[in-house]
Amino acid sequence: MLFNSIEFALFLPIVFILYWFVMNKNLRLQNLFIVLVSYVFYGWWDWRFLSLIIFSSIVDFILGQRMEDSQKERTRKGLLWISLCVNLGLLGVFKYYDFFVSEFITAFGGDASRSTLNIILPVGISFYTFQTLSYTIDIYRKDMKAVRDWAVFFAYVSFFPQLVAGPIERATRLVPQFKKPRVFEYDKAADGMRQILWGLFKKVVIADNCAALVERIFSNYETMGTGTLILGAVLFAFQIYGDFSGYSDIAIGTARLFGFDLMRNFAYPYFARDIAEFWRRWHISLSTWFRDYLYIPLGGSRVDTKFKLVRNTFAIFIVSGFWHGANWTFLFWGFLHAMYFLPSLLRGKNRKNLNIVAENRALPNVKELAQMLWTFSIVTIAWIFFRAETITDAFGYIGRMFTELEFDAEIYRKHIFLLFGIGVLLLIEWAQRRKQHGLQFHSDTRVPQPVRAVAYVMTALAIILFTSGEETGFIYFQF
Amino acid sequence: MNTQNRKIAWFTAKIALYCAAVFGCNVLLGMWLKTYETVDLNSIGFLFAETAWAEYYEKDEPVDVLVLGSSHGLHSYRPETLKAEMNVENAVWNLSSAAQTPVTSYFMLQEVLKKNKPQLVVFDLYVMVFSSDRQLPYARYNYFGLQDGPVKDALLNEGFPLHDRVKFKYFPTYVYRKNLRVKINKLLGRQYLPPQTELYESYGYSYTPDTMSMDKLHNDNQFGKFKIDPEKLTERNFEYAEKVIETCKAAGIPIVLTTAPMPEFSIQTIENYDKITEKFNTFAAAQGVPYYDFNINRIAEVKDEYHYYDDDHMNQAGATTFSKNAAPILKKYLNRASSDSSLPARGQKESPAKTADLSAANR
Repeated sequence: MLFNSIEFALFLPIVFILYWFVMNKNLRLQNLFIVLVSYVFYGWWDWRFLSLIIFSSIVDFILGQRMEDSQKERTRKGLLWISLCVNLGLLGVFKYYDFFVSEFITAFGGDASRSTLNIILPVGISFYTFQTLSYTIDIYRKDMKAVRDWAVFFAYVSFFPQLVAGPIERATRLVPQFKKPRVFEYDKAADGMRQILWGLFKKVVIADNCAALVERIFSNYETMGTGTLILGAVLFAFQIYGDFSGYSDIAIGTARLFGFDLMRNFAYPYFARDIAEFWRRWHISLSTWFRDYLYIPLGGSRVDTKFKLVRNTFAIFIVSGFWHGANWTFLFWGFLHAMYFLPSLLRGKNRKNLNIVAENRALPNVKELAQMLWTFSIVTIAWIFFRAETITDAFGYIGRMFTELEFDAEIYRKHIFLLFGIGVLLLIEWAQRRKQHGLQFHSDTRVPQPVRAVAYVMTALAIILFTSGEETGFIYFQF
Repeated sequence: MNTQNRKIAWFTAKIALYCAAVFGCNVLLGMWLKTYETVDLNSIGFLFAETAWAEYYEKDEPVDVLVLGSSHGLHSYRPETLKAEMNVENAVWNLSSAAQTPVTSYFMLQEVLKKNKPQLVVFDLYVMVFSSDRQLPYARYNYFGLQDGPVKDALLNEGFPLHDRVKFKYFPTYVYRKNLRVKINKLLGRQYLPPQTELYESYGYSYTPDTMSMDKLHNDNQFGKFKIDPEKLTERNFEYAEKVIETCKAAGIPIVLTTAPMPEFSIQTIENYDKITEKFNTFAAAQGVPYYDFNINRIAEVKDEYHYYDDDHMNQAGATTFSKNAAPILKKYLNRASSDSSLPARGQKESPAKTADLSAANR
């Protein structure tokens, strides 16, 4: 079920009312209800793949308890390996099998089409796999106790707001919330609704409208010149941001309606002043997952040689690229970000910009503005690799940006509403950059209530007015 | 009610209030956006589907030949020429319309059959309209054109998928959202009405007098920019195409499926046109009705240089030339039972041999 669908618009209020008015008698009932509605939510797409989530949940539920009960380190390690093999095995089969087989066979000049299985990628498999992995790894590390109540564990794995595209929650953060009696907090729920509204705006008004034009430009880049290609790349940067951060906002907002706090996934990444800051603000739940479960175990930045530092950096970025999909374009995207990141890391300047830009000022200074523009530019160049069908296409696209020097003002004029919409997005997010999301207003806000009410109604109307038509899926569903 | 429940109830009520406000604004804004069609476009006679239906009801005369299909069919079959060349006594109507899917065609046919029994139905198949089940963007023009009655209701309640129906009934801002730009232009005193490149003639037919340059056809051809996947044509469209055929058969009306010509260059540009024509051939053969793909069996008189106004549609000269040349082929199917014993009787299933001949010819 898509967040931006009529089905979800009906599903959410029904679930909300049943959850708070009917299932509120006891905690276990509420958790069981969450499991049930999460399965309905997921099964709406394809009920057959529910079996994978259930299987993964059963395996890790049992392994977690066995791991905790066992005193022997060797047994514990063995159980962890089983969990890793089962979860990564499923991910490998469904996500990477076809890629590896076809690359291997093609490398030896064979016909790959006979050996690949054309496997359908189950929506959200990368997200819930990483979520369950964090659970078993944390138990192995003794960072948390195993869950003994299956309703709690199954609800943790399948919690519908973040099931298919994150944020990738840690068991240490989310499981305790399932164990605690839930209390309805008015302010939290109200802010959740505002966050949902803002997420829908980013998805429906910005991302979906960018998508059609981006598709047209990327599939015909051979016939286009500098102005149009720059527009295509910039629009894709906003498409993927609107799409993914929009999803995250809706997920976090929805979870808040049910009394849960999910981790923040985006923190205005396009206002970053350097690439390290960008990665602290983009897809935070995945970056921190890789940091905690891959980068630090490899030694992180506290290693004795520069070689190891470089190796660890490349490892985290390339694996992150590969996590997005079985394609060389994603690997190259990860590689490029590693190249961007390394210089500041080697000079020890990767933690230079920890606060938000222009924290105590209304506007950035010239230096900050230049830094933001530069960071956005190099990120956008990397997005071209992420979006292109092949690496050759990506290089072709970039090549034409510099060689086919022409500017077609008509295409900008024709999409003036879209560019205006992006301008509005940037303005609002700039003004709200110290807050969690674009429509967050604290009780001490100076914005009067009627003005806020008008702003919410206008945002909702903009969503109806500027929707592109089809209910478009979220880009990150494919990862 | 405890404190928590009171909080939830207050929260729910407030959300409901906001929803009501948004809904009300959506209705008001939608009504304003709709006036572009009901007032502005109507004043220059630019809503061709509605104009066609208005003329149809006003004339109220018997129909001998009925053409259904998308804009592709609309701009190819000229009723005046067909009537003269097919030598029929009563009216020839072209009730094709922009992006008309087989779903809409089915209800258009139902409306005509309420009072008429045509001697022939020509059903033009254009691949692009088979690729989506959506009805909202275009079928609404026919909906507004139809007289109130069971067919009009059925078009909305059966023809529109649930999503489209909900949006159509309750979200006018969404339905008319594309009119925002022109309404703003109007408010700002700018040019807002579309250039009148297309003109309504009569009997449902509208045309464009302009001719596309060969340079534009070759260098700015939309078909080079995407691939049409015949596997992605929707089942619902085929289901309704079948219903159109079954309805004709049940009423004893001969039906001919066609695909009117597109520029030869466009056909060459489409990578897999053979797959598309094969798909329609197979469909027609399964239904036991004839199918003529005039992009395969090209009419020599129709030329890229003179007869198209874009890379897809014919101009007035093209429609006249094509109709003149297609008429003898279509004429064979008119009143076949009485006029030509070699053809199957009305409603009778086409012999497999005959269907196979046509399929082979299309290949």
